[in-house]
Amino acid sequence: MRILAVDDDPVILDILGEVLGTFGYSDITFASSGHEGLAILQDDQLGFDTLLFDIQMPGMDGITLTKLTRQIYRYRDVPILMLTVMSDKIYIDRAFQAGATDYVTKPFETYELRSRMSTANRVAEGQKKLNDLAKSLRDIGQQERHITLEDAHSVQDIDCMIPLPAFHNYLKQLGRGALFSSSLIAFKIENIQRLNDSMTDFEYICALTDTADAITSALPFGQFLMAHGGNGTFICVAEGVSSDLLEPLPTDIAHAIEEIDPCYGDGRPLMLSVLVGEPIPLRFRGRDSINRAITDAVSRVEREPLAVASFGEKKQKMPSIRMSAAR
Amino acid sequence: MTDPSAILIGLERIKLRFLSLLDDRLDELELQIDDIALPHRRAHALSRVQAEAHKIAGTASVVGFSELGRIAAVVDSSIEKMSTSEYDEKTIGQIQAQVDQLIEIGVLAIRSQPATT
Repeated sequence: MRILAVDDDPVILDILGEVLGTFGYSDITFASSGHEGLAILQDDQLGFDTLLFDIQMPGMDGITLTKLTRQIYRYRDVPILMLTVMSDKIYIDRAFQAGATDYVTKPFETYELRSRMSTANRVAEGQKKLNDLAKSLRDIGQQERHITLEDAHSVQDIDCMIPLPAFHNYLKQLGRGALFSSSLIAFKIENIQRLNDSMTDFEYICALTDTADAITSALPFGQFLMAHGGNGTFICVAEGVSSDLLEPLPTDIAHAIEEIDPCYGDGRPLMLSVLVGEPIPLRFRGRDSINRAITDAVSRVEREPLAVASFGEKKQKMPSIRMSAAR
Repeated sequence: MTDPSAILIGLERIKLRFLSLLDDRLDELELQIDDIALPHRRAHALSRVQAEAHKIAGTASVVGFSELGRIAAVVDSSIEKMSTSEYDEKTIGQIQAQVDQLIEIGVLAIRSQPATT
């Protein structure tokens, strides 16, 4: 495995070299600044398998480096672990928004670093397979389906959308910092099974992207991240969620869908309705609390959505909004 | 299974490099600590102090200096949280005291190591 470590502190680079070498990772390239790291990534012919970036560096910081790295096609899915002293939520948020896969707070435990690297590589491999598949979908007919509804296919190129494994890592990081001001909200494309049956894989990916675009552009929260969790369900973590902010959300999502004007590949309009779930405040109690909160949010949007944001079947000018306690 | 003692031997070597750099970092902190009190030099001095404290906080405990790492993290965090409007004498005094403590513990860390020839 080839690793690139970027940090302006030579002691950290020494520690990484020593610890990772002991764990059997011997092919490590070191860079002492963001600019140097980026130049190595751009010039290297073989490609790196894992990237370790410090956040606070003079000149180009690790967050900018992450953004620029994700723009290099080869590194769209390669795991990026942020190594930093900063455990403030704002830095964690910015790192994940920029495309980080995980976040290790310095001073790190050596065995924790190895465990995070292994996990990051495992999930990145799965993500790469899904993304490679998506690239080849445009030419595949409806008869050939390669993406199952359950796949947590990541949505690309939408701000604040991150892959599901990174979303889990982000939530774990919040838990470690004992930050309690966040809530989970789930959204789900209504009748996703029926819609999916009527689509090619490529159209399905486009529908996911359009829905994510509509939801993220309508969300009123100052800070949020969202991931596709499979089955046309989106899970969002946001700060400062209140009923005042949630009330106009279905209408705003419906308007956003109308503006996007989603359609099938042959130009037929695609009728999308989005179920909006009840927010679940995050409480980190017990080892499995994050998974339980996600399961709870998803189950509530499926069973008891707060509202449905629909863009009508006959391409009506205004979206129809149904508010319902139960379906 | 990785032998934990192999990591410890490696980290012992890195500790020497850490201490050598720590010496320079403490010099920089001593240069800046008085400037924190001078309004026209304060912003620059705080930025320099934070940069040094940040680096010490990131590595000290990995090479066995937990208390040094802890106080460095306190200095880093205190400066990070302080906005320009909070440049009052009391806050500045508190940060200077924290930096003093950081220097003191840093000197002890350096002295705790046997001199190498």
